[in-house]
Amino acid sequence: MNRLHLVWTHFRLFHNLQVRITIWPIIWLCQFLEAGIYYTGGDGLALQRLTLYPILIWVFCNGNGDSTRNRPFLRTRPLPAGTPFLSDAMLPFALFSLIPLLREIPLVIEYRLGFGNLMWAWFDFLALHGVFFTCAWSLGALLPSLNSPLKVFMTLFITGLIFISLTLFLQHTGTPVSTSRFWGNRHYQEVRYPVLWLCNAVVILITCCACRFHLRGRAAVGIFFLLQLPIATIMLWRLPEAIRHNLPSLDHALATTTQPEDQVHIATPSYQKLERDYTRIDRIHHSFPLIVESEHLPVEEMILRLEGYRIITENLTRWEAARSPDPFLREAIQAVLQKKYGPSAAENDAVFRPFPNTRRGASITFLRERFPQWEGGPVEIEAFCSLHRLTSVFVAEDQPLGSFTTHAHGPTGRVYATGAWESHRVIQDRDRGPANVIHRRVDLAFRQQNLFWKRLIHGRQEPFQIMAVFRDADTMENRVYLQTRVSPFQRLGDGPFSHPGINKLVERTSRYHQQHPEGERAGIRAAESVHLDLFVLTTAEAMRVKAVQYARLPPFSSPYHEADDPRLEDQPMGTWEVDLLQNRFHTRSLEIRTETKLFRHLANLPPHEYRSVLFEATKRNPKYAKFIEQNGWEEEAAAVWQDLARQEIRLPVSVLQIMLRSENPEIREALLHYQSWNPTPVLLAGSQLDPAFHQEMLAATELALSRMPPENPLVAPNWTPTRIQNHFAFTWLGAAITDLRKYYDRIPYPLPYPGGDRVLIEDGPYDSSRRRRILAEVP
Amino acid sequence: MKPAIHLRNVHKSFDYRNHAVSQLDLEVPHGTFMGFFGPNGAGKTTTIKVMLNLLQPSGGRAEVLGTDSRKLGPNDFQRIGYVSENQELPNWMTLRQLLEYCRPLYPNWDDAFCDKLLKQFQLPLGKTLRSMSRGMQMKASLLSSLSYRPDLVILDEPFSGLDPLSRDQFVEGLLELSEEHPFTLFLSTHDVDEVERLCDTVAFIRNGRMNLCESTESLLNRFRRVEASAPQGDTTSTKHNRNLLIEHQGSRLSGIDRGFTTSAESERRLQEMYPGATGVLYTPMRLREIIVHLSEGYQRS
Repeated sequence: MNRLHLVWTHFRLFHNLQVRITIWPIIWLCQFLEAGIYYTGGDGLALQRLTLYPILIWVFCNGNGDSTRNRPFLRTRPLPAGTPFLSDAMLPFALFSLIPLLREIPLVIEYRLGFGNLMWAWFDFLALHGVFFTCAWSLGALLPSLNSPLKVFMTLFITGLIFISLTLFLQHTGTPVSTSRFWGNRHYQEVRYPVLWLCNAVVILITCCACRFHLRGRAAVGIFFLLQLPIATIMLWRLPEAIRHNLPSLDHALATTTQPEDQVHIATPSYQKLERDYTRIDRIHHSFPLIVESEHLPVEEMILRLEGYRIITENLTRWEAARSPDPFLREAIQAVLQKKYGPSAAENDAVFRPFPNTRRGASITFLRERFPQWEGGPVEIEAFCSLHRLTSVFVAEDQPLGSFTTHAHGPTGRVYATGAWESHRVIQDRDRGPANVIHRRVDLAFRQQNLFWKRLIHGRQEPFQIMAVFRDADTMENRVYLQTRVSPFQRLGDGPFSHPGINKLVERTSRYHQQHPEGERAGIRAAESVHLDLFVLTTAEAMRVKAVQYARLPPFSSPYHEADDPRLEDQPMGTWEVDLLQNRFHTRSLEIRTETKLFRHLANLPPHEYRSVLFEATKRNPKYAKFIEQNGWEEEAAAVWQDLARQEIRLPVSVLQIMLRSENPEIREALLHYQSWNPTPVLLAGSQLDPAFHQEMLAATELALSRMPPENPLVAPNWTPTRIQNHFAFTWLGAAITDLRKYYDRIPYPLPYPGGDRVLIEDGPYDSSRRRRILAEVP
Repeated sequence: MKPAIHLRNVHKSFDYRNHAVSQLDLEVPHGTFMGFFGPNGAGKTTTIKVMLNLLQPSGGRAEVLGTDSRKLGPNDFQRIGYVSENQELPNWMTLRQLLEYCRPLYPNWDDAFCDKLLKQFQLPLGKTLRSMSRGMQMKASLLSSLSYRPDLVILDEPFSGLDPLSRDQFVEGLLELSEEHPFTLFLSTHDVDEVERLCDTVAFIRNGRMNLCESTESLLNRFRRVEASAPQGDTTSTKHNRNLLIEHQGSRLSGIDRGFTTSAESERRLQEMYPGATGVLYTPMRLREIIVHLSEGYQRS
């Protein structure tokens, strides 16, 4: 503490008053302004850099001539080692870093990220900026004292160099401007930490030289080394995966001469300010509006790989870029693209950051030179993207992340250069209630499991993001969806899985593939075991998947946008889910094609085939009924409803409503059959419809009961339709109260008794035993 | 016990022609007050800077308080007080701030002694150093350098520009410290009178080389002014004695004896040079006269 006090006194007393009344107010003002921009959703990075520049100049000057080290008065004083360095460089650095730290705290609290993550991000921030502050100071100390006017120019020049290199470095390696983004950018970390370390090595050399020449300040080296500890830790932690990750990239870079161009604008969304003059194609850009509807999205960043796009103009041959997850086919597509439109035609990645501060939009610029054949006229551009990378996991292993109730969207942008644009589709399940994210690592060493997982990830060989979630922890009805980072041929260790869902998944997949005839002839070596990072979304009732999306051709219209209906249950099903279904059909030895062809064809699945797949899927999972409804295929799906009713599977209310609305007698019959063993949801569904229909439903119930044989055990012979209705309605009331109980301690009373002859009036909190007692009084 | 300051063959050159200090040997025992004389540009300040690690020696070795000057650290500087004529003080500070800043740096800081010196120097605490006169600034610097009772005090031209009263106060401060705490003083100055009051050893440097290093007492005892009546007839000296510098002024002989031991011995040497000289009178010299004499002698040589 004395040391800190000394440094602070040193800093306070030995720095110019001019600095205090000029630079610091500017810095603080900029910092507060930047924090404001940060909170309002803007990108304050440039301002932050602007703030950094004068501080770097100052620190450089401190190191060069204005350092307290250079004062004989102080050089003959017993200052503790490193005091000038701390005072000249580190204290300005700390003051500079204060607001970026403080501004994160509300977000960390809001998103329940945990302060451990904040600390890691803070370490990262310190390590990164500490390099440049130390570099500025050391360079200043190493150079001879610059005299005016040379000093001014040299100072500006050198600090400008440092500043520009810093900015470029940050741009290319992804500085975490927020805590959550820090943990999202795994790829960036793999790149930036080695680079950062390299920079550190250079800076250490400079610092050592500076200290050698200036005699005092060997402790600066020690302090600087301390700053490197977080980087070194992260580096060592990430090194194996970074190597594995970069090797394919290196192969890819060596295999192609294509150089990435500046085609992707990661900027604020600009679709609102689209230029209306589309007479030249090179002015058509920013044509990919992506909207995230949730502000609490745990997804930090999505990178949408542009699988292809098509240009529709009068003078240009319509071209459709086929796309496929098959890597070989993809290579072929890229080759076609390059041949037709020049290099890099298929190298577009749109970075989509749905975090609040940049939550809208990505933009893609289609360069003019790619379309040499185009001669003018209106142009329509349709882009097809797949979710190439989804980083959503700023969570430590085995640590509950927190709760969220929203969704990741896999958008398909379709924008017309004429100004109209059709909104994307969202292929995403909705979580039921708050969900927790638990990070688990699963090492699937069995070849059967490899086969299973490889099928699920569409045979991709390169690592990519995936998140594995089950739907139902109790039934585990193969509701396995993956969308997280999968690193094939990678073993990251194993261990007991304490989470029941994971255990069930492993058991399930193991058992499943032991029974599967293809498991043993897949030819996968044991060493090629697949390791999965599973980010499990758990709720009390269900575990759901986060989305992955392949753009579907052609995209459906999305009426939910017009209706402004945020419920994602109404969204059409994505191709990816169909893929999964097809995969499951395949593994169940249904009538399918070979696996390789399967996915290729799924990519361009025609509507009628898609419908048949959807029907088959719905028979096995009533959840997909909403997609049938979305497409208006309720009548065609009569067989589906009958099948579902026969299976005596609990149907969602939406399906029941579909059946209730239907005039098809077969559907009616299926509904009555369903009602015969589980009538409550039917009545519940009916009660949610209009009263007339409800009455009609009651009449249908009465008719059904009258037609039932008296020996039907499901229906007591002395029950009248009214009694049945009352019973079911009251049961529904109880269920509703139970639901309300989740959210409120006190239930608003009085509640009307649906039978009409009694009114329940109660005070006080809900009491289940009391409810049972009252239920017993119902005639 | 190692001397407080020990320079061995110290050499410092700023370029290949300009040798500020060369072949300098100096030893200052503990408890010694040494006056360090020399004409302007002789290398006094360079020597001090080498001793304090403000400059690195080009050759040789300088040890201060037993430590190589190049390795002087905070622990050593806690025992060294340094006041320089050219020292830039943090002028924007008040004296109170200066003392507050210095106090935690020194574990031996003596507040009582500091207050005592403060009263003696009559310095205002709330005044900024910028607004103080030069004498007050020097006293403030001395105050901040003596309050922790250093073992070695190095003063570089501390009296320049000071009025007599300030000089007295300055010297009294040093004497005050020496009464309570023995220390070593290395005083570089042109002010011989103050050295005579303070120092028990004198060193003389010229053109970067040490010409003289002797105790004040020895120096004062060794030098005598000689006056005598010249003998009749041929007054030309036939013998030469290098310690006896005599000029013939008419009928009088006048000079300086640099090797005075006793009157009889000195008169014998004079009689050898000037047989028949009568009325020999030996007068003690002041240090100022000795230094001036030495300076002139070195200048002639």
